[in-house]
Order: sequence, then structure tokens, then C-alpha cells
Amino acid sequence: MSCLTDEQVARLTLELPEDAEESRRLAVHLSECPSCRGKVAKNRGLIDRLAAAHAGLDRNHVDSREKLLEQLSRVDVANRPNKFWQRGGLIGAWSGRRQVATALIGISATAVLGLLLIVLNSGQRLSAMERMAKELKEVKSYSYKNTEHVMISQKGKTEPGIVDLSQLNYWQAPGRTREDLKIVLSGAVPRGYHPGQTQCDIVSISLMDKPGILIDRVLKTYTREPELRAEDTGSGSLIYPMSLLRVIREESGNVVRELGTKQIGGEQAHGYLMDYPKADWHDVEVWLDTETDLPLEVRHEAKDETTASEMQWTDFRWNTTFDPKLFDTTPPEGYADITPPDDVKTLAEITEALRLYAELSGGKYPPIDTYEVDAKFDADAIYAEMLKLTGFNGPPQPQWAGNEKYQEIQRAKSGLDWIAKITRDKNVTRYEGLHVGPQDKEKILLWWLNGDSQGYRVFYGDLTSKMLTDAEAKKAIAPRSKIFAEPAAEDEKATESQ
Amino acid sequence: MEANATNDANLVAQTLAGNREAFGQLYDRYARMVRAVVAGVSGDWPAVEDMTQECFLRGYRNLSKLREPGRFGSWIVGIARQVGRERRRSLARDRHEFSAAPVVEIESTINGETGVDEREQVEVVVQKIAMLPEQERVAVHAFFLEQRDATQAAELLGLSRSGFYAVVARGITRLAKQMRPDEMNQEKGSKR
Repeated sequence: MSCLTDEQVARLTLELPEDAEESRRLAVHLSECPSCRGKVAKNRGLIDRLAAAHAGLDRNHVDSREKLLEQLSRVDVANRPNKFWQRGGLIGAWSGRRQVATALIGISATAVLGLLLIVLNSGQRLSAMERMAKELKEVKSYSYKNTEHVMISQKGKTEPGIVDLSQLNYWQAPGRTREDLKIVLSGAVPRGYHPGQTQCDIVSISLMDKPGILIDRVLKTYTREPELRAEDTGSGSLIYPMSLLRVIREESGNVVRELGTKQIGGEQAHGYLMDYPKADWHDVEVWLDTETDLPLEVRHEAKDETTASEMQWTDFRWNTTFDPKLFDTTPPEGYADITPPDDVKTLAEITEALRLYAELSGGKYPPIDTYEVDAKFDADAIYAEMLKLTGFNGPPQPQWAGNEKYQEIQRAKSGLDWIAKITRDKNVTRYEGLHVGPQDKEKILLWWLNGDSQGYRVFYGDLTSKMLTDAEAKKAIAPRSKIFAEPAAEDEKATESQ
Repeated sequence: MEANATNDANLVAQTLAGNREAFGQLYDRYARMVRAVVAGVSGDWPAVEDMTQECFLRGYRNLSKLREPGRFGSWIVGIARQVGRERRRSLARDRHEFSAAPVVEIESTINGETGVDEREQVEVVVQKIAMLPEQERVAVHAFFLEQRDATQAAELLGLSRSGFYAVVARGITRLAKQMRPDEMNQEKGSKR
């Protein structure tokens, strides 16, 4: 037998399994060949060092495990409610509606909170952070503006989809928040949308002492929102400025370089180019008030395979007095109230309307999927169809009034109207009678978000109904497709498609 | 691996129900493999523990997106690849600040002895590993961190058992060629 190849030497040294015949041949050769024996012995030194190096990596397993579990106690596992993000509030907190809007469009919007973490955690700026802590403790109100320009490459299209987002945020102690959010689409928009179209224009006001309101200026609707609870606004919650520091202190960022000073809104600002490795955020331009160390301006540009974005946070105002009208929850005149119901009577009306339609139509529900761009649940048309199916054609006749079926259809109109009203806001509701029938007792026919803290109301194909928690809803309800179809990204698939 | 999958699915469900200790058990099962992948993909040994923590934290935050809880292992390895790549990109951006070889905390006892020479020699090996192709780096790390057990490592890396061994052997061969004779330190290093 000729001398061993380098790979055979490696396999022998690593004691990798070989078939019996091969093992025997190698052993015989090794016993007869000093040169190959020498090579194996030499390799063993290398193997020992590799084992030693890896033992070092593994040595802290127990401590690391303990550290991880300790960290988990401060992280919300994804399917449990995260009050901070749901409620909106202090710096960078977005309402659930904004999350829905940005998720639909597919932009990876990032919170100002993250930027503040970047700003405030440089080891080089410890004293600034301490001053910041004091300043934050005294903050009674703030506002800022966030704008984002995002270009998204699309599968099969040469022109990108463009999203322009602008957002004004206000917060006032002890617990008043307002968010004005506008999203405009342009570039190559999909069928059913128009370049320059305002996709989202909402005002969300949340108050601690009474119900808030979410006004949709595109749909001309409003929804009553539950009031902020003490635990969402008190000193123990993330909505309160001091609580942010707890988060901030646990993070770390690096100053890449200083950018000098400039005037922003009449204030002297000092700039820093920041890196925030934990969030994979790089080259974030941050300008801090030299007097208070509070942020005056933040800018960031990011680009990956599918998305290029320019974001800026400007017009920071700290401890200013706001016009009380900013937090006025009176709905605009002419706007429809689409606050979802949760009373037994209304739920029964909805159930009865759908049951009756199925009975009259031979076992199906109104064939509509409100996720389709142009689709809507037209209560009047469905009511007219139900009359027609029962033979009540033409203008109403006095003799119909005594007919039991006619009376049933009259009563069903109320339930149909409710569904039409609720499903006007397609982002947080869906009616799926196009795909779900009375036999589909496992499938969801109709659902809506019932307010941040109350979960999701769902009706299954067999018209049983129940409330789902956020976690249950995430599993049961299919997410809506993004408006812009992004090219597949391998990295995303690796982490999310499992 | 079927029993593992069932067990993983149970642990994922328990975690989602609020049992953090269940996630600790997933950590026990897959942390070694995650360390292997982040070390192999990023080439940044000093940051391995931080990256491993980051992987499991991301996993925890996104656990409800995991469509097949029985495949937690493959999923967390996917996250590890992502975190490793991000780290590598970050290092590339800052390469001017990383001119020196990384300082590696090395197990100080080799062959029952403790000494500066041994540590230096291990550091040399670590530096040479960084020059291997990524697949070989990851496989070599996985081989040693998984106590030379190829069953789980091969599956999580998407290789057959024999394929995994072949990649490890190739990596060791390449590594041996890169070492100078004095770096191999045959006499001191051999214990067999």
C-alpha cells in the first residue's frame, strides 16, 4: 500500500469511522511506515489544541444560560402582548395601526427608541447619559417628527415601489399621546393602487382618563380606543420617560466619530456618527443639544438587497406646552363610527344574518373576501339579494310585512350593516365568505381586532364565535400579503420561513 | 431525531406558554451548535458568546413565527448564520480597527499542564482556523463543540454523516498544511 494521503492522515487522527477493511489496511500501513506514523503524531498536536480551544468556548455554558434566562425575563416572547408597542406613547412607540400599516407595505421601519439607545449608550458619553437621566426625569412633554423615504425592489419589476411616511408624535405627562401618521405610495404600485395615493392617514389619540380615538382620514371613519391604564403610563411602564433609562442602560453603542457642532432650531447641537452593532445599525447621524444632551435631530440611511431607506427624526421639542385641542377626542363631523361591537345582542345579529344568508343561498355565505383590493362587504346589495332569493322582488309590498321569512330578512339587515361597518377598515378585520362555508368549522369566516387589550373576535365557518388572544390570533389568522412583492432574500428565508 | 423533534416542539410550546426554563433546555441542546456556526461564519471568536446570546434572544422574540416547532434546531442554526454574517459584515466595515489578531480566552490546561506556550499555540490554531473556507470552519467547530458527535451536527448543517466527516477531514488537512512545524509542536502536543 502506498503512503497515506493527507486526508487519510486527518481521518485517522480525528478517529473518524472507516469501514472495517479500510481500517485494517490503514493500521497495517501505519505499523510499517514511520513517515506516516510521524504525520499522524504531528496532527495529534493540532487536534489537542483544537479541542482545548473549543473547550474554552463551551466553558461558560452554565453562566451564559443563566444570563440568557435572566434576559428573557425582560423580553416579551413574540406571542404575548407587548404593551409598549401596542399602546404607543413615549419616544418612538408606534400604535398597533402603524405596525400594521408599515408591515403591509413591507418597510422595516425602526423606532426612535432604538436611536436613542444608540445615542445614549456610548461608553465615551457616560457623563452625558447621566445628565440625560436627570433631564428625562424632568420631562413633562415632548414632540418630534419622523419622516422616512423607502424604496423597495420588486419581483419582476424594474421600477421600485416607493413609500413616504411622515409621523408627528406628541406626549404629555401623565399619560396623553397623539400620533399623526401618513403613508403615501408611489413608483411601481400594484394593481388597485395609484401612484401618489395616500395609503394611510390616521390620527391616534390615547388618554389615561378616558377613551381615546383613532381617526382614519382616508376611510373617513373613527374607532373608540380603550383608555390608557395606570400600568401603561405609570412609573413602572415603558411609556414613562424614566423607564426608558432602564432599557437604555442595558444597551451599548459606539461613537464612530464626532461630527462637530451646528445650529438646529436655534439650539447648539453636537453631532456624532454612531454604530449600534447589536441592532446592526451603522452610520447613524445623531445631533444632541449641547445644553441638555437631549436629541435634536437623528438621520439614518440604510440599504440592503431589497430596500433603501432614508429616515430622519427632527423637530424635537422638549417640555413645550401643547394646545389642549391636540388631545381632543371629538370625532370629525361626518365620520362614521366603526368601533367594533362586543355586546351579545350585536354578535347574535351578525350570526343570524350570516346563518340566514346561508340558508337562503343553499349553503354558502356572501362570496366576498375583503382582503381583495376592490372588495367590500356591501350590506345593501346582500340584503337585496336575500330578498330576491326568497321571491320578494320589486318595491316592498304591504302584504310582505306579515311574512315570517321577510321579517327574518329585515332583522338580518342590522347584522349585515355591522359587518359592512367593521370591515371598512381592512387592516384589522377580514370577512372571507369567498373561501369559507358553513361546513368549515375550523376556518375563520370573520374576524376583527377588538381593541388593543381585548384581543380578536372571530367567527368560524359554523358560526361559533370566540375571542382569541394576540398569541392565538397570530397562529390562527393568516397575515395579509405585503403591498410590494419583494424579491426573495436568502437570509430572510433562513430565519423566518421555518 | 424524531424524538428530538417532538421534544423540541413541546419545549417551544411550553416557552410560548411562558415557561422560560423550557427555553433554557432548548439552549442546552443547541447552544454548542450555535456557537459553532457563529464562530465559523463570523470568524470572530471573542464575540462568540455575545453572538450566541443574540441568536437565542432573537429566537425567543420570534418564536411564534416558527411554523414547525419540531425544527427548532434548523431554525436557530439559520438565525446563527444570519447573526454570524451580520457580525462579519460589521467586522469588515471596521477592519481598520481590527488589525491585530483577536484575543482569545483559551482553556489554560492542556494535557494536564498549564503554561503560556500552550495557550499561545492554541491561539495560533484559532487564528489559522479563520483562514479556512466557511463550510470547513463551521464543520470543524461543530465537530469539536458537539464532542465529535456527527449525528446532530450533520443534520443541522444539511449534510450526510459521511459528508460531514469529509468536510471536517478536509478542514483539518488544510489547517495542518497552514501550520509551520514548530506551531504543530509535535512533542508537547501529543498525548496519545
